[in-house]
Amino acid sequence: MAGTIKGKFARILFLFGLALAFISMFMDWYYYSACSSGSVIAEWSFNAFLSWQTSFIEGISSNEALRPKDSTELLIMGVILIGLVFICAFGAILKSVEMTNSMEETKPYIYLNTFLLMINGYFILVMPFTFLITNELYFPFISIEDLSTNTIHSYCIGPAYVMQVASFLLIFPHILFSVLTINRFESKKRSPETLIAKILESSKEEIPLEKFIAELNSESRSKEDVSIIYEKFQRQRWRRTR
Amino acid sequence: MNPYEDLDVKLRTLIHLSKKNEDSRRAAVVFYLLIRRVLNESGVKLGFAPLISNKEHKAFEYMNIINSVMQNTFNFKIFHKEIIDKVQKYELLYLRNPMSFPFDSLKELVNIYYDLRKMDVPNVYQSIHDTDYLESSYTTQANNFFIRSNNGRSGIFFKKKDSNHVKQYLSHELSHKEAMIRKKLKNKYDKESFEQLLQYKKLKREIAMGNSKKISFKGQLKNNHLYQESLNEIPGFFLIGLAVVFIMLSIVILIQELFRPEISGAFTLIAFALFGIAIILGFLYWKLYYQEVRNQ
Repeated sequence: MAGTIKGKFARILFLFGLALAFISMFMDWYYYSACSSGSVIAEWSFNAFLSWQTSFIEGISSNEALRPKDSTELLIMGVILIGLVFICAFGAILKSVEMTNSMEETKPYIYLNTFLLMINGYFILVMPFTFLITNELYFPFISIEDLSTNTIHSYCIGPAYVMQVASFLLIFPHILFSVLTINRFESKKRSPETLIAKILESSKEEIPLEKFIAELNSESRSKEDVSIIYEKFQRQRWRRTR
Repeated sequence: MNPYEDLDVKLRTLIHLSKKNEDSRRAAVVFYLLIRRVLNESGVKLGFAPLISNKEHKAFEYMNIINSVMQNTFNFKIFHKEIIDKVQKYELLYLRNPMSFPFDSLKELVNIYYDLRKMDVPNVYQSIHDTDYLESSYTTQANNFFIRSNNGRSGIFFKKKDSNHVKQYLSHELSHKEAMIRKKLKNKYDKESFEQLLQYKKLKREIAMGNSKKISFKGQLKNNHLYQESLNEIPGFFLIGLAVVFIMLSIVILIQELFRPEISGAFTLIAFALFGIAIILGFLYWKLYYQEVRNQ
């Protein structure tokens, strides 16, 4: 009973983790701002679908000059992640490993879950190198004073990254458990009864039992008929001779 | 309910009509085919190829093949010599001239059919694959050595040295039980003992193979008690997940510091702290989940 509760709890956390991963794709991934002489001269935030966004009105040269480089990498990975989130949520609700009668049905969902975990890991481990470091942005947060221009540059990861980390923590136990389960258990493909019945059916020799009974019945009747006719004939002959 | 009820009524009618008509021909055909059918069923259930429906494949030869394999594998014979001799005698008589099978011999053919039908051979496929069997037998104890539980915690790991002792002990126990059943079966065949023998053989094979073999289940997995026990591992996986996240974050920070000499040292302490927490979590998992199961 306690085991079942743990299983359900892990599945609920998994779904919650999927929801976090989904929401994170619409949140900001990174914040960058620059201050000079106490006033903000540039302010940018990065969203996977909207790229770099600023609260400044367009055309302010200092803001435009300090705009970090664009990246389509998060957009592509984000689209993949959203697709996977829906498939995995469907799998967790309707094709759960513990509810299934056939392991083969759930295996594809478990492999997709593993792929989702890898995408999740990509956002946590790989993205800081491929997106942040190459764009000269810092991880996780820092303020650097540029003495030559007397400007303070502030770098900070956004809530999307934090949500990805939380999502990883929530989906990891369920996925690891599912992978171990499909490696430990296997459902029986065919019941022994069906297997035996199939072999016996293919090797069955027909026994014409009903046909033989019908034949013997009709033979027996015709014999009876002959004996009745013979008896009648004998009776008539006896009467005539008398 | 007797599955042969309908057939038996028809057979009685056939015998009655055959006597009435003094014609044993048709009844001989029916009983000869029924004998082949019942032997075929027994053979297939025991895992043999079916008895092919031609005269080249004789029923008594099939019985001999089954017996020799059973003798080699289980050290007992399914069919007694007397019944094989009878089948051979009347099968050859029938095959020589099926159109004039003697009435006296028909009675023997009927007796052979009912004797063979009474034998009730177990389904080897079922005995080998059915987990219901396993869960209701001695096998469960052995499986529990491999997926253990202790105070609600369980795991799949255990010391190799301990496992070898367990394997040796179980193999010895099973061999002893097997020998007793074989002795019993040698004197008199009975279905239950044979089923037990099949289970012990399967278990011995599983023990020899270790954990490499998957646990098969029927119905929904949630109803399997071994699965229920394995659910206790989930809290341990949370610890592993947390450790993995901390390791990933510390790797990101440390590699960033390698690429950015200007911030070198700023986050080193945090990175090592995260790494340290990951090690502590790994140690906790090892202590609370991994080692405890191993020490059982």
